[in-house]
Amino acid sequence: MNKDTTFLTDIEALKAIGHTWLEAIIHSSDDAIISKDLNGIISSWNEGAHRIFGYTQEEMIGQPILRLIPKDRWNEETVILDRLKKGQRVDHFETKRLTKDGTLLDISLSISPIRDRKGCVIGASKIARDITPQKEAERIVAEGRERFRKELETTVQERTHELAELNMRLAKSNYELEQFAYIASHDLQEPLRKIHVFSELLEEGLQQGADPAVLRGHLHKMKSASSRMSRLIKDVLEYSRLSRAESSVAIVDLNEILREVLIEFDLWIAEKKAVVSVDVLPSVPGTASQLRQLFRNLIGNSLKFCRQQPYISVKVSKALPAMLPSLLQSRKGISFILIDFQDNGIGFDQQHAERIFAIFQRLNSQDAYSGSGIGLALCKKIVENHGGAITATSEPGNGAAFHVFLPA
Amino acid sequence: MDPVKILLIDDDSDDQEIFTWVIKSIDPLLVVDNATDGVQALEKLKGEHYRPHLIFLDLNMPRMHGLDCLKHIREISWLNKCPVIVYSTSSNPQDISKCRQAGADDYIVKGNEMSVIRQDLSQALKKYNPRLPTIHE
Repeated sequence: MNKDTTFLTDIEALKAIGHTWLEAIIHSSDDAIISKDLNGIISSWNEGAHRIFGYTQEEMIGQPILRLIPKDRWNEETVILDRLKKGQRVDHFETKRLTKDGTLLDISLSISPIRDRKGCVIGASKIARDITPQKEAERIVAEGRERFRKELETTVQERTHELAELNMRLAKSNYELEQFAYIASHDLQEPLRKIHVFSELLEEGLQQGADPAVLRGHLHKMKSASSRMSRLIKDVLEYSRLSRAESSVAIVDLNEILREVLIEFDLWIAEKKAVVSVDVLPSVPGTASQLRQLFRNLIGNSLKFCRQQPYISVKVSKALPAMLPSLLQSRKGISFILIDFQDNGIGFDQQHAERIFAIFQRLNSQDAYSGSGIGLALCKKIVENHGGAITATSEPGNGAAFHVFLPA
Repeated sequence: MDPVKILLIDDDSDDQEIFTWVIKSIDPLLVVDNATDGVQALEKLKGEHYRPHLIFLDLNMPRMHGLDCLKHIREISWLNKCPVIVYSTSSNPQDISKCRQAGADDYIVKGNEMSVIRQDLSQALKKYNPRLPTIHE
């Protein structure tokens, strides 16, 4: 059965009980169609009004329209009547009206004046549409928009924060790079100068027929200067490579690392008759090659900076929170181990304890102890790559201790 | 007459060698003495009998920075008239002004070539040597 047929059937039914065609249209409308006189008394009430407001025809005809209006909106009726008396319409006025059971509905009103044959306004015809679903939809959309706006704001804030942090890191990285470039180029100039000057001396010596031993001496200086340069360049490359995050992270057995490093140094250890005592070390998350470099630099230093028989010890303990350097204090929820590298070498003045980890900083002259001054800077970078920290304590002539904190 | 004695305070043995070679080539009669750092230099200088006529001082040295050494030297009363020339690889203007303020008579940046080194040192000798030497240009 299609719609039209149903409609006609309804009309037929209505006609059957005495309604005219137009009356039938009014009664079958979904909207509330109400008429009232200029005193606001209801004179007609359709099925739609019954459905929307809950009152029957009998209950409402002869009653004031104010019954539908919430008390705080009674002034609307005054305004509406005023307009009607002037012959004006009210179109799609969105407001709220009360149903029989006290529910407040969102309503859209259209009101037009009814005139007699003389053209005088004698009442009003009111169409009220229940716009609750529409209002609900609007509310949902508005809520959605607000939620979206809030999420967008949060996201923007987060991104801004991330960008600010990234900027800070970049600025720091740029600064470090500048420092690095300055110091590297400066440190490379020294051997280069030597090569140049000694080659000139060599040339002059050859012209003047100088003693071959002297000339050989100049050549030797040139060679050792160029070795210094190549070692420095190698160290610089190594240091810069360390700045990148490593992809090969695994659980590394530190005993294995220590064993490998001691094997690398076995000739030197035998030569110096060094005694190395070690604890059983744990395994930690990290990059084996970097940890090996760390151990190599620390043990190598202990062997190098020692004038007597070296005694080196590697001890491990659990790092108590009070012992952690300030860098790590803020890292909540992570437990650290402490590896102490202790030697009996020349030591250093405690006031230099931080400076020694700066790149290219050497406390001793090149002649006394060779080296580019990058070893401890590498150690610091490696330890920090692993989320840890390194500090040192020492006294001149009384050996040095290096404290390596690593996340367990 | 005592030979003119020049004290070079520098930890780099190559630089010591080059310096001595050049000074001697300018005037073979000059005596060049070496101290490998500020601490050793001050030990020497605090003995009243040790009186150099001219001091050349490097800056970047272990144990004691040249600037601190300079300040200590300037506290030694009998060396008040001894010219102290800072001789360093650093061309940093801050280093230069700090040294001047601490009482250095001159500041020479170590040259990269023999000709420059010879020129710088012979000019310095002309200016600060109490007795005019025979200058080999």
